[in-house]
Amino acid sequence: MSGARRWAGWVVIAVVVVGLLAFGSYQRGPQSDAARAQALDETIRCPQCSGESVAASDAPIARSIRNTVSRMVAQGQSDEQIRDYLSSPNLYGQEVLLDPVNKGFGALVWGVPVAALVITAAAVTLKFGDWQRRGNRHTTAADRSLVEEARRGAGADPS
Amino acid sequence: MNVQDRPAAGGTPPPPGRRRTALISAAVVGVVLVLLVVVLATRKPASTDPHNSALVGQPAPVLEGRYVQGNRVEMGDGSHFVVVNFFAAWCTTCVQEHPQLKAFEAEHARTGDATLVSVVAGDTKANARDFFHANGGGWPVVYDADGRTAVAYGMIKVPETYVVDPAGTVIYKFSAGVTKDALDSLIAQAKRQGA
Repeated sequence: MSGARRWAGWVVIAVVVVGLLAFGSYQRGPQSDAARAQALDETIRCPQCSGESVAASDAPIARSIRNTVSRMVAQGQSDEQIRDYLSSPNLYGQEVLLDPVNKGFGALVWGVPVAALVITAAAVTLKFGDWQRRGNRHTTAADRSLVEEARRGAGADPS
Repeated sequence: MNVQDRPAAGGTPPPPGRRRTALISAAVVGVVLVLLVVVLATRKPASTDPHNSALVGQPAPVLEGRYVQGNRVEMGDGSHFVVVNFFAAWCTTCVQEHPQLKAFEAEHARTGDATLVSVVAGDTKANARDFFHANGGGWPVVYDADGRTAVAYGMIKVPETYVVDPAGTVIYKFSAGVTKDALDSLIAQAKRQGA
């Protein structure tokens, strides 16, 4: 396969992956208040339950938090303001957020995998390039004499 | 052993350059791991003591909602302690602690140094009325219709009881049932410290 065709394959894969990621994370237009509240409810943990969002739980406090989210959305508060209010230390703390915040120490959760991926990809690329360059090296006179010597040794050995 | 550290064909040891790279990589990974452990070990644990709510030391949130019975309770007017009790009629611990609250309220209504107020959390107004009708007690009861007061207090599960000092600051949080003795000794201690 020619170099150009091989690269074309990689480019197609990269375009498809980036396209799908962009499609998946795209915010579709202005959401209705109910949809926004529902989306927020799904990111907030029910403090009384184990690992359940307030959207999924029917516990009294989950209902109270859903009401609070709906009221704050109707008041025009931003998603961040609502999440900050509920996760303030006086109320339920950071543990109430099901998806970690992307600032401060919580940013590590998002940053470390990305950094690991980039570093690994870079290292693999460099190493492959290195191996490829070595593979293209021409045999030297010293290599030939080594092989010749080994052959003679094998020929002399009767076993 | 790393692939690149494997002795080359013929048994010759890896060149010193590769060894150095491996050492540096291992050192970097090691330092990062140690830093991570140090940071995690020195952070506040996620499960904090429920009796030491972060609300302790903060101004008590306003009790919003209609009063099912009794007069509006003012907090922070400097004259008395306020005990805020979150309850629901369906909660058995609430039924169990009710006689304790009754005894506490009866005594402090005489001395005038503390007021009790109950907040209906996760139940209907009618159930709350029936509860007080069946179990007695005539102190103020707020109906927290949409749960905003419960959320403002960071309440998790009934019953929860918050003690507010005369200045309007939360001084303690009881998760689960409370007794008259516990409330009395807490208020006595707060008075001694305030004096």
